[in-house]
Amino acid sequence: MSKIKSFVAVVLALTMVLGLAACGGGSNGGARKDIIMVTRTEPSNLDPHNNTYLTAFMLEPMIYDRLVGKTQEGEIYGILAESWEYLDDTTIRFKLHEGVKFHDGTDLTADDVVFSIQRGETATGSKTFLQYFDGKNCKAVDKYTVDIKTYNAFAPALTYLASARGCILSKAYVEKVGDDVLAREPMGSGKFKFVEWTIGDKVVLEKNPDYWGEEKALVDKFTCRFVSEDASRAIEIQTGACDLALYITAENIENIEKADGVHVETTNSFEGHFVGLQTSKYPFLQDVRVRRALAYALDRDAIVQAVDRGIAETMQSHFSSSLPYWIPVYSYDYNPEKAKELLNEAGWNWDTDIEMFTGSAGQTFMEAVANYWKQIGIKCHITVSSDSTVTSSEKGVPVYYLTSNANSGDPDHGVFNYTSKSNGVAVYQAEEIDRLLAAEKAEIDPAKREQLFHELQKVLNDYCGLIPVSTPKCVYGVKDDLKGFVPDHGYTPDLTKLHW
Amino acid sequence: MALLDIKNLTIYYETEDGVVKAVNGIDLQLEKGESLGLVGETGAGKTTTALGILGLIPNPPGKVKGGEIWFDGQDLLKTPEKEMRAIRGGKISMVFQDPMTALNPVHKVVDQIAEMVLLHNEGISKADAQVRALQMLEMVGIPADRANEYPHQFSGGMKQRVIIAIALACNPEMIIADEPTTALDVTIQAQVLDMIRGLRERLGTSLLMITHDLGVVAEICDKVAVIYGGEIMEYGTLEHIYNETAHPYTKGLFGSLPRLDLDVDRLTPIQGLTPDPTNLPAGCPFGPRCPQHTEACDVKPPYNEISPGHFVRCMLFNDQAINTAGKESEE
Amino acid sequence: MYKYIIKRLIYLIPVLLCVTLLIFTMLYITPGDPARMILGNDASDEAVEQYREELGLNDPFWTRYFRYLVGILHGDLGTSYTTKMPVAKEIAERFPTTFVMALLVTIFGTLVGVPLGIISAIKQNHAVDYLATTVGLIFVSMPSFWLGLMMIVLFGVKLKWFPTSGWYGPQYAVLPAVTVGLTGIASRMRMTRSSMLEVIRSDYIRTARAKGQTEFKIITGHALQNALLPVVTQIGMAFGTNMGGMIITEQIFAIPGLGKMMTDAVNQRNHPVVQGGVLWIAFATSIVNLIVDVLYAYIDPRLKAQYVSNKKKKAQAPKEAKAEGGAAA
Repeated sequence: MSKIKSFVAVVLALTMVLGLAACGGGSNGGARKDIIMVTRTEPSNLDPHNNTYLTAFMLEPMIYDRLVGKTQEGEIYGILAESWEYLDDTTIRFKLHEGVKFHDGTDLTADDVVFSIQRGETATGSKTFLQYFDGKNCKAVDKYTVDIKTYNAFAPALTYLASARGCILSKAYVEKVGDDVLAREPMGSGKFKFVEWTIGDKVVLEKNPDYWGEEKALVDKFTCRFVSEDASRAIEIQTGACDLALYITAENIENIEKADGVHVETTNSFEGHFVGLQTSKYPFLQDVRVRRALAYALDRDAIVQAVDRGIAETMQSHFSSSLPYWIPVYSYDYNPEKAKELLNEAGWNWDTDIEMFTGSAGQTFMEAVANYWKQIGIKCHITVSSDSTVTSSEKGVPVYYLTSNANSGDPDHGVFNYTSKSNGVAVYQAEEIDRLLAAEKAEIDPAKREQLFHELQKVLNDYCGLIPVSTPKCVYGVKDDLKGFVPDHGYTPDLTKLHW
Repeated sequence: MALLDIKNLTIYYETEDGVVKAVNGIDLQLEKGESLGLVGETGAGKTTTALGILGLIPNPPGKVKGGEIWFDGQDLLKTPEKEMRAIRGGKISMVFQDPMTALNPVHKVVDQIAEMVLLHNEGISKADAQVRALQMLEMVGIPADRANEYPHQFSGGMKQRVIIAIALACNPEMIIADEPTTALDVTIQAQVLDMIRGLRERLGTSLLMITHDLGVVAEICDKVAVIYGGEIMEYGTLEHIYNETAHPYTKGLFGSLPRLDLDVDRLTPIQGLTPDPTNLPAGCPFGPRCPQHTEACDVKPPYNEISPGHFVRCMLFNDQAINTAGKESEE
Repeated sequence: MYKYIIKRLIYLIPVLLCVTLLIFTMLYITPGDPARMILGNDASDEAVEQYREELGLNDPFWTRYFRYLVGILHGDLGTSYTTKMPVAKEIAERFPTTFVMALLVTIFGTLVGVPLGIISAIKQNHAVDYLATTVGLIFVSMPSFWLGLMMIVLFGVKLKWFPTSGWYGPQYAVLPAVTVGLTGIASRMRMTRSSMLEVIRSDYIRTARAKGQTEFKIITGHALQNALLPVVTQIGMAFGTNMGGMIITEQIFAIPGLGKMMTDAVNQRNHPVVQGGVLWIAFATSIVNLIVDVLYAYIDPRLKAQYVSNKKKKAQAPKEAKAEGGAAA
């Protein structure tokens, strides 16, 4: 019997020894030449035209090059494009750098640019975004000159080309391997080469030593790991097992700040979280007084504090305050008495039970909203569902939770779903809004565009088709020694400049 | 000197529901080469006595409260466990009651015998142990080509023969057989008894046969002890017990046997039920059921030798002791 | 024995068929449009509709089902809606990880749980027994996500003995295996304990004692083999369950296994992946059960007889009769 006990003891001891021998990994001798980043969601593919994942938007510009890029301040700078000029309202002529090579050694020419735009305009993942570009009429003037055409005058054209959807693919490569292989084995001309992708685990990139540009990558290897559990992600940066972690949630910030060698960087985001009001289908929402009353009934500051725990700011317009041309226009400060007054004035039927629909992400948010409405006597109830069900039913519910992310940094990106013609979820019907949206897209002159946006914001506020509530912050966990990191409002920081 | 000499053995089971007084001061002797039958009803204390000899009483809740068990010059109750293990199977073997469950279902039959051999023959090789095991199987009449089979492939009678083979494998001086044929049908019973008798003749092994079947006793035993309520009521040779029956209980046992030569409508059982071992009567345990019960019986009757080698524990025979000092003073 | 195995494998076919029908139906009636999920909120209704056509989502139920079945017969489990990879390939990449994890978890649970159960049984009602039972109860009551996070915080963050997430080497397997294994220990221990208790009271154990066998040999040589039979079945079943993917553990420790793949696929309404994954898990679990049953027959000679063919049985009968006849000594 004692033999059994000693056997058990030996097994446990072996397990301990195994564990101890295995620990103490991660030596930090010398200047490091690799970076490990941890983020939340794994993209379905790395094809710039076929997915809508923010993670992909970060990785694709490392593997591919775009025509132009955009700084945090909103300045457009050339990457593949040496120079450009507007030939007319709908045509931009780009002159490309010569001698740009793809990772397989072939040249990047104007043909590849035309191919990319044409593909992007029709591909599933990007056609909504690139719908303004007229791919058929884009032309390769010569080997290194290309004309990009848009259907109408389109002010944010360069901004959109600077987004990940603007990555330039190799025509030959795509035609050779096909879309499916391209999705898993991207090949571009960028500072990093694709090495491997372990599904569910990580993507590994390595430095492109033959990069055509002057600024090559500053590290040899870049690993992007996918850890979907918030606590696990925070622990990774806290223990220093990774160098950069995205989507740090409020409850983990303190621990990371307290830990040695790492800190938290926060910045405002381009997002907006709204209470959506389905005006088109529900008569009781079609009276603007009702909508305004619903807005007056909310103490948005309190909601923001409760739901986002201080890692957000209350929206004062219909898009993030970090976007250009933003002005604070929101006029429905918390006033429950006024809310009741307006409802009575509008002849509100107090027996109406408003149905509120949300996915699991917006549950706390909607509960807070419902509480405020209930406080002034409105009947409402919440249906929570897994996100996929929400997207298909949203069209049929009066009130819903909506988030938007103007990731490209252009305010048009934040409002472009608001026309009655578009079939996105947030649909306004006022003609005025339609007119202004069309106008701002076409207006190239920044000063005039700014005016249009100011007007647009005021109209959106008056119409009150959505109730904007919070703009959450982007929270990054960063190692103290990591240099070159600039927190990005769109949660897609430029990763090519990271180094030790 | 007797091979086995039990003196005043007392064994209790101390449970939550009360103390079960299973064995209450019994005396027994077994001579070398002799066969003693221990007869009694269910619950009389027979199996407990047997287990007590081998030190196999389950320790909670069983406890040996007193007495001595002399075997081959040593008191088994005071023998350390290591020596007891050598004695179990080596000097004293036991054959249990139910052959269906007494063999390990996942070991081959030959291995179960070989295990016995290996335990008591230090230094013997596995191969030699196997050979000896096969010999034993042959001795009990099981063909060698069945040696590598498992217990569930044998019938009840054959299993019991395997068990006997195990018991005899190391030539023990004594075998305790606890109702070895009770679970078998009569024809097989006859075969097994014949085999036991034959083996005894060949090997000279002493036998303590525990049974409730007077017929079996008559077939195979030299001496008989009748046990009731944890006490020996009567002890003597076959002659003494069968032809000079003394104790009322023994008489009652014989009286309840069905007889071919009498034509009766009903059997004559002993009135009443066996006593509750947690609540035994103060005096003679058979008292409440005895047709010849008197007030004198409320005191524990002494154990008297009423004729050479014939002992009775009954107040009726108190004055017939041939040795007035009483058995207790001997030795 | 081979006949039995082949019979079991044939039985597998209707089982798997039912599984496919069940899961197909469940996905069919579940609300949520895969096309909309993939294209995102911004996409137009026409785009979504066109994509639905491409994916074949508008065809009638039986057409889709039979198309799927025909595909399986050709070894094609479909293509993932999101990654466009063949489902079989995705499963092949993720399954080994889950398999290894399940194996480690089962081994850990067994190596610790069974000896504890034996000790508990032998020392029934002593302090050791109560302690082991209590500890086992505590572990089985802890939710695995909490336990996993606690292990990460204690061993990964504070003590820095083990890495906190990922799957890049043997040291990464320790914390997750222990997290899930601890629950398994409780089950293994209780099963072993009760089985041992029963066996220790058997008559053949008493026979072994009467042979003069040592307590240790009685436990290990006689009792254990008999007591472990039901435990083996339980271990097999547990292994099969674990292969179904320890979803929560994979989530917390960021292990690229089957569980995480399936959860994501369900959320994305990625039908082919869900169907393929469920089918594969059903298949793997059935195979594991089959192996356990066959193993059981090898360990327990009483069962082996069931699988012996009739021919052999007939040959045995006359031998028995002869033996009975030769009994008289």
